[in-house]
Amino acid sequence: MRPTIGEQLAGAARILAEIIAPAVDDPYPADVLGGLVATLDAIAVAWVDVPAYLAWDADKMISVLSALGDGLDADRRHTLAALADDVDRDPLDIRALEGRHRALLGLLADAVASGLPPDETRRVAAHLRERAARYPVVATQRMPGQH
Amino acid sequence: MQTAIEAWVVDELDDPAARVEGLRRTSAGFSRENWEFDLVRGGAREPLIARRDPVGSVLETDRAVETAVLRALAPTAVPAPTVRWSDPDGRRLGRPTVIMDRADGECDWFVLNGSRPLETRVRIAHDLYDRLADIHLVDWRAAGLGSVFDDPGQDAALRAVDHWESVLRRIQLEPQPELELILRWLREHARPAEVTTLVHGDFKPGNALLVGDAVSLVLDWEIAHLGDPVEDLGWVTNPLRSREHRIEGHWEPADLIGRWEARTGLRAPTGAVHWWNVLANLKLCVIVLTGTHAFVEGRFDRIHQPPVSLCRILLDMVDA
Repeated sequence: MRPTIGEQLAGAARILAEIIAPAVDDPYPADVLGGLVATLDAIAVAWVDVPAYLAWDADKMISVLSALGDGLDADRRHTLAALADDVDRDPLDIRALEGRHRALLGLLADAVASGLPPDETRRVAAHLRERAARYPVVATQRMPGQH
Repeated sequence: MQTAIEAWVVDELDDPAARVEGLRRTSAGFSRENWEFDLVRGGAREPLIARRDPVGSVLETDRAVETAVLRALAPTAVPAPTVRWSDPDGRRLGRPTVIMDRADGECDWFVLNGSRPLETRVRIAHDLYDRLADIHLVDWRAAGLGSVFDDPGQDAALRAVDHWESVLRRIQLEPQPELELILRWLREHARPAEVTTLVHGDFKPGNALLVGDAVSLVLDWEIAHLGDPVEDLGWVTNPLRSREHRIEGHWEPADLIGRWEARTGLRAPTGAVHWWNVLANLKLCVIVLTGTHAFVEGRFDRIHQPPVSLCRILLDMVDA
């Protein structure tokens, strides 16, 4: 369906950069506008990859969490089993995808905070590195402390 | 804004003829609103700057504390901004604000790797980090800072972890397994501080002014506190910030620490510096997430992606 979501986001960024930005003289709004255009450009390219990333990360977290020994208590094991068994979910329901992903992130965060043996910590860390490497949106806005 | 600042200035000076001219908000700074203006009075023109709390920010700090630090530093060797008037309650401009003298000078984040000759850049590095040593040499008890801050004593490292973890808990929008791992490592490897000093908290070339090739002012004291001086060394030797703080082959972390140890007479054990390097990047992650929290609530004007690269660097730093 045209314009696609990506085309609309990229087009909005172009209009802001080419039509609006030249008319903005004050340095603060001009700087904010530059950051906004950069963000729109980044998500115009990457938004389409986000659902697949969330699904991949969720599946990997289920795998990592399932391999933990005492890192999960009985309640959390029950929650994990329910999330893993949710086979009837609609893969195109983005809200459900985000909610499941967030629940798994919570289980992983709790497991790490509880203290894991070194070998399990390394396995978790290996996944955390991989999920960072695969994160689909490339930051274009400067971070605080960067210039 | 113009009317409100002018009313404040007129009131402080008890001079109805005082005027504010050339008011403009600059783009510098992520944590405070910076409003530059000239105070025109009796034919004279004085450059001033008002630093006002924004609605939302990457840092939540206290103007009353910042004002107290700057006033305490006025009689010391540390070149810090001069406070004119402070309104920590926000009665004047709607939000807490400090008005300071606006000093001349060049602010260049990457001056150490800029276009000046190598010898000049190394000289600037010496001058800059000698100012950091001078901050750590401030007699904070005599300056009255003991009534502004708690002295964390030997527990400065754990207190810093407590502080940044409490900020994280307040602002995180979703679980952060990477940061949980780092927090655990920090607690398990924390070292006792050998001494308590004033700590700047965000020392960098971008928070200094140069006149010619000399450092004239150290800026941005909003997260200053009492703690372990190695915290500042961990901040300025953070590998992630090497473009700002190092001159490859000529001003390396070992040079910086050696010169600092010689000037202060204090020690910076390698393991402690590394620990504070890790804390520095955790702090950066929390700062980014604080901005994201404020953005989602409609209180901050910039959008940051999750700090995934920083998290990856942190995992490498703790060898997880």
